[in-house]
Amino acid sequence: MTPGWARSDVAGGAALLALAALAWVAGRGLPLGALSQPGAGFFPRILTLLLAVLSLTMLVHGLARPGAAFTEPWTDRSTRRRLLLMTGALVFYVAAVGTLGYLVTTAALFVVMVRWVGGRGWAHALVVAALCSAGSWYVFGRLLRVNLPAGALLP
Amino acid sequence: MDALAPIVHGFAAAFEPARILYCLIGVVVGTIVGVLPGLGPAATIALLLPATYRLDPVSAVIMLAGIYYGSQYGGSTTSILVRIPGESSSMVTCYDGYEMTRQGRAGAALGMAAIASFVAGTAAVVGLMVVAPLLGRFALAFGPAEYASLMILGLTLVAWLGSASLLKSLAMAVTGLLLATVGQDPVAGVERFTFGTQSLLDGIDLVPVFMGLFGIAEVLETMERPPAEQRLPTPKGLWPTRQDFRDSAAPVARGTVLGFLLGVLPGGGATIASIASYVTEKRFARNRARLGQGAIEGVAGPEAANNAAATGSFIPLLTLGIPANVVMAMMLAALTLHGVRPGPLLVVERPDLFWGVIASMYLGNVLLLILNLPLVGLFIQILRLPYPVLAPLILLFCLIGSYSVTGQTAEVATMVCFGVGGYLLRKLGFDAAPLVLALILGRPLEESLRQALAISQGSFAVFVTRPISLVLLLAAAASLTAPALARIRRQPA
Repeated sequence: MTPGWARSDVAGGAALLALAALAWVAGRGLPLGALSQPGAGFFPRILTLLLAVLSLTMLVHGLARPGAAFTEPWTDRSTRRRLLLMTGALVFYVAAVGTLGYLVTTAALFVVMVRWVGGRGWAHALVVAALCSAGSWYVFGRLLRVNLPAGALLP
Repeated sequence: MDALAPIVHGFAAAFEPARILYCLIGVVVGTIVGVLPGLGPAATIALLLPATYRLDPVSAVIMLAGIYYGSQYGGSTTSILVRIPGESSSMVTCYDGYEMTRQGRAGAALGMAAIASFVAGTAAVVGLMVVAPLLGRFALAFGPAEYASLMILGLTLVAWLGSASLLKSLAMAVTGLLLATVGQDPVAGVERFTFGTQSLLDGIDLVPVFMGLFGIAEVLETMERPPAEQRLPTPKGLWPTRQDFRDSAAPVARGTVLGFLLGVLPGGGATIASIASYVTEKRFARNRARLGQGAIEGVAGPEAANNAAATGSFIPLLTLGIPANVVMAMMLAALTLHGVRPGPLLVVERPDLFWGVIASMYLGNVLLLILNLPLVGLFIQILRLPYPVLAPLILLFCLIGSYSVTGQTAEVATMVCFGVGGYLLRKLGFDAAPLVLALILGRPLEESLRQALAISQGSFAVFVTRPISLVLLLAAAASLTAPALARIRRQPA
């Protein structure tokens, strides 16, 4: 039988309940106002309570009934690796683009995605990375004048 | 036939060669803006506003209007091909449109989206000519209480959407509303849930949320399969089949009427219209069981609805001077910039502009159909790319789209958070659409709610004593209870 925490209703309910708790704490200082003059905290407070009720219901519902484990796709090692690599590449992008600039960071993203996540060869990965980062930089940044992130060191 | 003289005059004005050119520029830009996620019609019109300075007002409005309804054509393309809605009004097109792509029927879906858009767009222009003044007055009857009730009805429609349970859909909607309260509050400007950061002061922007929940989450989910199985099937056939046309006729007709009526009302406009159409097809149509599994009805109905709504939303602007949505507010700014005051007198004072713009919409829709059908063949070539290359390209598209909104890396961070979060939500059986809709409606809903309560001095009775508001709320209650009742009936204890 699936352990309680791995059932989607339990995990989902718990996560949203945590969100409601966070919203309650963070919204404590907001003025509630009166019904005739609702303040900034009025609407968030109603929503927080509503979310708490819904997520609790979901949690209880999930605990009462057996359900399938949502973690099933992550049991395979290579799947886990692909998912973590891609997430890591995105986090790296956010962290590094301000310093390394658009061209290098974008190329790095492509290398990770094509070489390791996609399992293609090095030559393939490097060519695609160079073409796509330089090409998109030219088309979006130069031709379409779209705002692209620039680095402190490189464009 | 004196009554027809201004209309004929309008057509003559719209079909001057220079204006045909501006109409063409408008719809081409609109199509591009619609296809590119992150670049919306409102931002584009704002960018191009100064460029219209030297044009005469009729040409300027013809071009800007073309951008708006043109973007409704393009918005479905990425929804169908890679499951990223180009505009929020194409969100529900993802369900069946992308499923069709997975079955190798991307060509049929794209073709039908263009045809449905054309039919609905053209029909809505006819509607615009016939009933504009009448419907304009109807929209005038909407006060804060009615807006609030309408948005609540829009939110309850999500109970019918997607495959998630009612409880989960509602939880997502409430989460979306809560996320919408982040930033300065719409009435007093008090900071809420910003946790001391500058970037959250203006609230959570829709585009990064969109890109994350749909684009990034979809790529992550595809990564669960080994690289060899990730590729999307090569499309078989470019065109919708005869059967597709038969199946789509009724959804397009229903979507057009729904979209036109909802477009006139302020608030959600095209987005609510497309959702309402999808819900109608999913629950009431003859082939409802097929919806969600790659049914052409799920593309044809919503795409008709969002185009009809885009055209319908010109009614309150042109007849009352009231913008129904952000894009129409930009349009109002454009008109004012050119010294035109839209309102009940516009049709009398500037018949050339009023009828000229309407006449140009016929032309624009024809141009869009001619433009979009050949593009289908071009767009589906994207699917021939191997997925290890397509995946980073989708990511890059999302990154650029999110960054370009405000030019801050914080937007990209938001996108990554919502991407990973959206993937986890999917694993937990949640559907992202209610969250996005609630995020869109949250601010206007809060504003109307607070205004209505202030006017009624704190009495909730205002929502049930005003007839339109009461009807809307009853419909909302019915929309919430009906799925639950249906479920109980289906599984007798």
